[in-house]
This record gives sequence, C-alpha cells and structure tokens, in this order.
Amino acid sequence: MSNTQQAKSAAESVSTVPGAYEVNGVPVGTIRILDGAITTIVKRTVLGIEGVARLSGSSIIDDFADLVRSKRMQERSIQIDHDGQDISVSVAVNPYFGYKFPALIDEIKRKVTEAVAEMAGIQVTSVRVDIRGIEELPAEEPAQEPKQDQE
Amino acid sequence: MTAKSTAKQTAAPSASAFTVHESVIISLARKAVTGIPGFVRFAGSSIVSDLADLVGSKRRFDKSIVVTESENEVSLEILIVAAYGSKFNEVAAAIQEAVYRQIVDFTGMTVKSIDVVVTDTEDVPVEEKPAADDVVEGEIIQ
Repeated sequence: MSNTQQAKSAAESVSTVPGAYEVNGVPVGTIRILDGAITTIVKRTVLGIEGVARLSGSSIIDDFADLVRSKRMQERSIQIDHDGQDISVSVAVNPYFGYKFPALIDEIKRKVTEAVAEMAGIQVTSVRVDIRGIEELPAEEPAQEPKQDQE
Repeated sequence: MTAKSTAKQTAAPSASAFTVHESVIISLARKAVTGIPGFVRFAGSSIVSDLADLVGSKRRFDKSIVVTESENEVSLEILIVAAYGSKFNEVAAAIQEAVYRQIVDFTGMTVKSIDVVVTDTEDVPVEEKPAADDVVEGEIIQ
C-alpha cells in the first residue's frame, strides 16, 4: 500500500482498485474509480429502495439539473469520504411517510455497501444516513409540471 | 524520418526508425475499446461532444484518451463510463488488455502503462436516439 500521507492528499476523490490486466505478472497500469461513479451507484441504489421518496435537496430544480446531466445536485445529498482504500458514504434522503426509519436505514446501509462492493470493488466502512424530510405517499401521479415532451 | 528497411535489419527494426502520431494511438485505442462488454462510452463524450459532432469537430476523444509518448514507449490514460451493474475493475482490465494488444500488435511500440479511469456509470443505451450517428458504433450487446 502507498504512504499514508500520499493516500490523504492524492486519493481525495479517486479510488485505485486492484485487478488490472497483467503482462508477465506486471500490471500494465492502474484502475481508478472517480467519486462520481460511486455517487451514481449510491444514488441509484438508494432511489431503488422502497420507501425512499427522493434524495434530500432534490426537487423540480434538481430534476431539471438531471436533465442537463448536472452532477451538482446529487453531490449535494451524497458525500464520499476516503480513508485509505476504503470509503465512507453519507447520504441524505426523504422517506415516505409510513416507513419505519430503522428498517429503512438498515436497508440503505446494506444495499449501498453491497452495490459499491459489487461494482466498484471498494469497501464501504460506514454509511451515514441523514433523514432530512418526510414525504406523503403520492395518491396519484404528482402533477407538478405540465406534461412536457416526454415521448 | 522514414524507415529504411534494409535487408540487414529484418529482425529488429531500430528503435527510432519510425514515429507514430499520437492521434493514431488514440484511434487504435478507441477501436480496441469499442465493443467491450461493460464499456458504455468515453468520458466526456456526452452532450458537449454530441454538439461537437454536430459542428463536425474531431476533438471529441482528445480528453478521454491521453497519450504520452517517449522513446518508443507509450503511456495511455483512458477515461470511461462503465455500465451500471458491471464490475468496474473487470471492465477496466478488459480494456487494458484490448488496448495493450492492439498497440503492441499494430505499432510494435512498448506500452509503458495503460491507466483506466472510471469516471461514472450509467445504463447501456438501448438504441435510443440516433441523433449522433457515429456514436452508434459504441453500442454494446451484452
């Protein structure tokens, strides 16, 4: 492993993972994963969990930000911290009313850890879940926006 | 500096007998990577690059594949978006292997390093908008 100082300064927003292609037993290069990829894994995993309404801080504005593929908004509710090779994740969510927090938080922790390990091959040492709001289950399709060109 | 192919030098061409332009390396690498399962696209080749396509810019891949050449040794850094659900290091290793073989086979250069950076992950496009025609070659059948 590299020096501890180096890990602190250089590996701020990037994780180096093993498994590079080898020629004569020597890896031809490094494989690095940027935080953006991990953020996307966390986002999609959390949003796929039943009971999660949305990531906190995401609203109509953020849906628009998604449309133009801005990364800003999702980074506001998901934070990645590096500790050597491992990472810790903080995620802010708004659950739906009616779901019990402890079970939901456990599921978020478990699924995020699994998904990041599976895809990125990175160990998540801790998942911190902030519940910043609560949402009513939508009775029907929320008609916040007029129907746009969603063909 | 053209290569002097004299009969004496059939076995090992001298080290500085030829040069390969950076853009050629990039093209070779790009061709090698395209079609690898789990590879979605090169990083940076999204909306901005689609726009660049529209205006006919060819600088699309310049930032997602960085080539450093020195004395017949070549180092590459390749920035990609991996498929959501794939194992990133397996995708990256497959890319390293494909690019390594491609460059060694075609140029005979020594590959010093091939670094793969996974910048993001997204779904493999399922033949959606044919807006950017020449990106279609990047489609993947898993």
